[in-house]
Amino acid sequence: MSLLPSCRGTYYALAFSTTLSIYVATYPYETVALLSLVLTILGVLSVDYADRTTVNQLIEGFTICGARPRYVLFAVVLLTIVKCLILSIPPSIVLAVSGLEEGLINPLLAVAVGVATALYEVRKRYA
Amino acid sequence: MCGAGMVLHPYVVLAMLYVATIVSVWMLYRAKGFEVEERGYRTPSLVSPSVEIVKLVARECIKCRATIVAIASFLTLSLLTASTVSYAALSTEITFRPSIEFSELGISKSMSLDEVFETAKNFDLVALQIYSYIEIYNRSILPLALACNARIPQLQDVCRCVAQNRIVVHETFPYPSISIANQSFDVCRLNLSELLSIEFLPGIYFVHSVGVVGTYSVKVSTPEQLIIIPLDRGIVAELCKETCVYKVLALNIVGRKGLEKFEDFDIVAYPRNSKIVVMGRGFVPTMQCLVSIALSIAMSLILTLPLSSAFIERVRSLYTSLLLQGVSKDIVTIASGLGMWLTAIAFLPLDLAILLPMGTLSSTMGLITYVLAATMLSIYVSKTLSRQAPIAQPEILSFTASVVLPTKLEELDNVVECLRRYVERDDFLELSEIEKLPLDGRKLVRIEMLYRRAMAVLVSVEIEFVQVEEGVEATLRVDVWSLEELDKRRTQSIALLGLSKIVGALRCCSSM
Repeated sequence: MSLLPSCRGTYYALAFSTTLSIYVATYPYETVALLSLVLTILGVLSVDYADRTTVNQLIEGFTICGARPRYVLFAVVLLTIVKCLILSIPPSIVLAVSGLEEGLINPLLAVAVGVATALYEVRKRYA
Repeated sequence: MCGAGMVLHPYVVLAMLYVATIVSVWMLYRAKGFEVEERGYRTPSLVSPSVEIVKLVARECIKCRATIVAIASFLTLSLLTASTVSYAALSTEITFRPSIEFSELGISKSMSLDEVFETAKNFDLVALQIYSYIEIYNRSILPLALACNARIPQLQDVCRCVAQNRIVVHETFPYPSISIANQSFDVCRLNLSELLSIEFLPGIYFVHSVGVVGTYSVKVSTPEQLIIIPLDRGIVAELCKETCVYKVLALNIVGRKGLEKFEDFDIVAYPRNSKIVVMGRGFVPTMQCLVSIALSIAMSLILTLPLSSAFIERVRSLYTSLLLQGVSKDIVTIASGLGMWLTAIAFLPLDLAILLPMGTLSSTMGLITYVLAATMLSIYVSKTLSRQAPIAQPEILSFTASVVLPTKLEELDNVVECLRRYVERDDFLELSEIEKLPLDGRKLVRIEMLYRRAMAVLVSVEIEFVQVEEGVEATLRVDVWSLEELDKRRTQSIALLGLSKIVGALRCCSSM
């Protein structure tokens, strides 16, 4: 968790979720809710690019310290989940408050995509 | 059946969007062209080197996986903007007292004649100003077709005559009848002077008017120039047989019923709170719409900034190589930005195809968002590349090395000849000059080579041969001279390349 402030992706996620929240609050339409879901997924993929170096260093550090791959995987996945939640929860709350309950699916989908990406990266690393 | 105004479901649009994007990127990635049989001659090409650089950068961008995410972000954001576009008709409120009080007024210059006759049913008064002179008794006269469906005090006499299927002329008109469209009409002589000053809106008169120059209205100036005819399909069709320019004024005195087809008119006016609201046909985006565009661009920047590191990583090696080749930093920077921008803009037709069913204004706003987002990403990437570019200074680096060869000083001529052959065959270095200088008890050989991958980089190697017990000791000193801006790392690489080449060649040649 102490790594979060060092990740550029955390700040991108915060900025993105704030902007998207303002957007969906200004335009609480069904189409916007749907597109916000797509944007959240794209945001997860984009934030992943921002922290690729940091995550690689993290894996490197864990490996040097002799950590088992599953611990490395756990750390990386946990980091990704937290970032995905930072990115997706504020817009989904705004959507839900605006009466668009379909926005509540955003965090679930964001976490799913984020975890899949993290798994892919770690497995590629250990392959 | 799908009609012209079909609106696709957002899920379908999104599915189409992503499938098309992925297929396009895949096709671009896979496209390698056709191999053709090589001929013995080459056709001179006039393609600018800058264009080639742009193509190289674009190719690198297409190969990058982050491109898919960036393009998908741009497309989604443009769709988001287009779906939230709101606009308002251009309107203004004026303080004006019209000559005839109306509850609604429509003015059109683009309505078809069929629409004019259809519109006439819904309005109390319809005046069709025909801007084509007709010749009547050797006089050029402007016709005004009129239909009255209600009692209007200012036009009571005119409307009565028109209703009797007579043609209204000024009281000085000397003839009893007029023949128009092979029909003879009785004339109805009235004083038309007062009609000339009937004004509905500033510059819009009951009679023909073409506008206002300063404070002067350009309109029919004398009543003799005017005749008023019934708004009859046959007569108007005959008058407008050839090219016909006309303006329609349609108004209601009480109640609003005729402006349901608002889009038929160029200008619409109606009174509100002792003022007149005048609405035009143009539309302007609302403040909310502009906020939507700004937020979309902000989001696109946040989304694509992390991706830019992937682009930069991809293009950086190309950027450095081009700098090494002697291309100026400005050209490489501009080419990088342009290459990236063109890659993004290549998907603009796809964006257009997705947005078009949403209407012209929505499409325009979506396209503006797309282009602005792509432009800002390109500018950011090119600026970052330029900032991170190695600071290159012309410099000279020197390296020395020493090697003992199992030979004798007298046999060095053969070794030098062998050395020449080795250097001549090299892929990186081109032999420029080789000279031998005999000194007291030792020999000096100087070899000058040009680095093939640059324009003006000279590698100079001086070798001093001294006879020692084990053989001949060769002391090498390498200098790299560059007229181009090379960074230290590159110069060092070239120097080491030259040194290793000569040492290797010496070892091979002396052991033969």
